[in-house]
Order: sequence, then structure tokens, then C-alpha cells
Amino acid sequence: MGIIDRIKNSEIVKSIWREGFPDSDKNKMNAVMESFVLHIHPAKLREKALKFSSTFCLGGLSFFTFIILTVTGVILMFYYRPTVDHAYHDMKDLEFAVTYGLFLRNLHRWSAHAMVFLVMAHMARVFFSGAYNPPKQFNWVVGVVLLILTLLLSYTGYLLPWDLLAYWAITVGTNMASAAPFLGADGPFHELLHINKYNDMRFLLLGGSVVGQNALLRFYVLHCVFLPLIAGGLMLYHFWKVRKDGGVKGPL
Amino acid sequence: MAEVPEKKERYRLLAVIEGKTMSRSLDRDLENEDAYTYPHLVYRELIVAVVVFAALCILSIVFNAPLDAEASSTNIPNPAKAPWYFVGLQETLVYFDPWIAGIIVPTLIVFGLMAIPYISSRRKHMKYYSLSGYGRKVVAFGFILWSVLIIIGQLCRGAYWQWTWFGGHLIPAKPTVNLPNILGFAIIFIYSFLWITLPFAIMKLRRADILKKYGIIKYAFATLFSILLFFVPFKIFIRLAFSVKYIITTPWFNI
Repeated sequence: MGIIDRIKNSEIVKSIWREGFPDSDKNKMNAVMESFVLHIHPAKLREKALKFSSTFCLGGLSFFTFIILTVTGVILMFYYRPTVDHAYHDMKDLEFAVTYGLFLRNLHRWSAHAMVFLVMAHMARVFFSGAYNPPKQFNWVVGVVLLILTLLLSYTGYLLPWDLLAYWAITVGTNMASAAPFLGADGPFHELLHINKYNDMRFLLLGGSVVGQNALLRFYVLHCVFLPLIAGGLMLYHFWKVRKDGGVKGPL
Repeated sequence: MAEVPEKKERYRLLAVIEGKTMSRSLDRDLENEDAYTYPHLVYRELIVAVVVFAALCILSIVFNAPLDAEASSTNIPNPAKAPWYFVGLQETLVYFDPWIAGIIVPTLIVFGLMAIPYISSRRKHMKYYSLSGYGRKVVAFGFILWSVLIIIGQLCRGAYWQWTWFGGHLIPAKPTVNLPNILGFAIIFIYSFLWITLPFAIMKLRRADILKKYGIIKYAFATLFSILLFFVPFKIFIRLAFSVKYIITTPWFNI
């Protein structure tokens, strides 16, 4: 036996990958069923479901960009401080001082735009192939909630560079919140509930009446902790439900 | 006396017929199920993932993410645009007040999307993409409207939100008038009336008894969402064709 075979048959390697190399039918099925990552898939599937145009891999790519964003996001967190005094200068440091910092930030930004687009395209694909029909209605609703969370994740992340683009984009958005009926300080009927700019919906979003330190910290925690946890949990349900309902493009 | 034996059923073989068994479910085609996930699906997914990751890496090397000057409450960029996925809503701010464009419209979009499976006409699982059916066309129009608003907001709006033909010179907005309230209410009434009755009349003409199998509640919700969706391009048309800013003005809100 050569050295490779001896390593492949050693106890350590066999304890991690318990099934042999997938060359037989049984091992091909085991490679999927016994794998932590791959067992999201069924062991076998219909020949026509393999076509690219059946789903354009949009759902999988949405999740893939989410993984890229999580990995690049965590690395970016080592170099960024969410304070008004430091945020912008940390962005400049990322660009000029940190090795591959510019590439890291760019990858995070373009993956974010890509994820928003891919999630919308995935929704359109699911709609036009009728994959929301009963009994899959609730999974569609969970998908819409995931779309909202994706948009909110992108929006909260938009503020973090603390540059003009970020500051005024968030100002425009939160000013719309102050125009809400009943709950916004500039909306119709706000006098009925004694709403002013220190207790309206905009104040809740920003943690203050201006876009300042509180808003930056609030959006940072939402972007890095709260929204990813909720989105991750809902994704687990979403993927599980797809398999439970017969798989992607599968029979009911 | 001998006992009379009990009458028993006797099953006799009548015939043997050679052919495919009838005992399979109608939707599954057993011959078409032979692809193994590993390696066929896994390798396809791996290739797509690698291609997309490579594209993102190339984008990240060639194009830099934007970084303006440091945030300041006094330095106001003109125009101050929302991110591209919200710029469609910002564009509707031209035609509606903030409480409609920023609160009502997004809420209706979200609840309308969530409602789609519950008011859909329950067609069989589609094996290919299709635009058949009234509901599918309405939603397709909604997607197109959303995309057009994003393109206009991102590429055709310059300083002070003035119109520009994809980066050309700025065209200032024309002065607008407000309609008297009685005319505004009449427009809304006639618009809703036509939306509720015309599809119903068309169905009666075609003798399609949609209401019986669809139900009055689902039809009502579908009609409501259609009315609200098509009111957006309707108001845009009124504004562009007749320079009308508000069709209803009250001290509390304007439409």
C-alpha cells in the first residue's frame, strides 16, 4: 500500500470521513446522506431538475453570497470601530493601511449588492414557476420576510462607513419614517397621540432625533448581530421546509 | 347426517396480462429519477459557485466601493439618493407624499407579496415558466414597474431630483396644479368602479364562473391589491399628462 492509501485507511481519516470514496452507487448516496453540508440535498433527484434553467441556482447563490458576506463581515469587524470619531478613519485605514483591506471591503460591498439582486431574482423565479402553490404558501411568506431582512441588512450596513453617501441615504430613509401616519412627527394625525420628534418612529429607529452616535451604534448591532441571527434562523426553516415539501422543483 | 361444508369464496385466476404496472403515482415518472446528487448536482453547484465567486472577486479588484467625504450634517450632496433597491420608492416621492411613498406603498408591497399564494388560482405545479393567468400578468407588471422606477431613480434623476435623459442636461419640473376635491373623489370612484366591474363583466361574457370556484373573498382581495397596484402608474400618468400634483387636498393629508 502506498503512503496515500495508508493515510486514507488510517483511523484518524476514517473517523472523519466514515464512508469510502464515492465510486459505488452505495457510496455515492452515502457521500450525500452522511455529509453535514451535502445532506441538505436528497440522495437522488430527477434528471430534468439538473438543468440550469430550472432554478438558475438562484436560491443557492443567495445563500452563498450570504456566507461570503458573513465571512468578509467578520473579518471587517476586526478593523472597524462603530463610533462617530473613528468609523470614517477606520474605512480609510482599511483602504490604505490594511493588507488586502480594499479588496475585502470591495468584496463585502459587491456581494451585498449581488445578494439583494439574487434574492429578488429568486423570488421572481419561484413565482413564475408556481412553486408557492399549496401546500407551500407559508414558505413563500417566510421567503418574503427573508427578502425584507436582506434589504434591512443592506440598509443598516449602508450607514457604517459614515461618509456623506451613508449619512444622507439614512437621513432620507428615516425622514420617511417621520412621515408615518399617527406614529411620525410629520405625518398626518400625529397630534392625536402627542407624537413629536423626540418620541416618534424615527426616534426609535435612530435612538435620537438626529443621525448621530446612537444611530451608528444601533445600526451596527442590528447589522452585525440581530438581523443576521434572525435571517439565519429563518433560512434554516426555509431550507428545511423546501426539502420537506419534496425538494427544489420536486413533485408535491 | 353429513355436515354441509360452509360456502367459501374461491378466487380463480382469470388472465395474466404483460405490461407496465398500474401501481405508481400519477406525477412521478420513475424513469426520470436516476441522477445521483453526488456527483451530478454537487459538481454543477460547485461550478456555478466558483464562477460567481470569481466574478465577485474580479469586480472587487476592478471597481472600488464608493467612499465620499466624511459625514456632516451641513454638507448636503445633491441629489441625496437612497441605495439602489430603495431608489424606486424615492422616485415615487415625486408623485406621492412621503406618508404614501415611504410607508403605505412599502407596506402594501410586503403584504401584497405575502398574500400572493393565498389569492392565487391554484394552478397545478408548473413545470416551466409561464405567464398564463390574470394574476401572473399582474405580478409581472408589478415587477416591471419596480424595475423601471429603480432605473429612472438611479439613472434619470440629477440635482434637485430634476429629470435627465441618462446623464444629459437637467430638465426642471413643470409647475403643477391641484384638482378640486370633488373631481379627485370622482376620479377615484370611477377608477375603482371600473376595476371592480370590468373584470367581472368580461368573465360573464366569457361565461367563466370564476367566482364560484375562486370565492368572493379571494376575488375581493385580488381586486383590492390590483386597484392599489395600478393606482401608482395611473397617478404618474395624471401627473405627467396634466401636471396635476394632488387630486385630493385636505388639511391633514393629500393624495
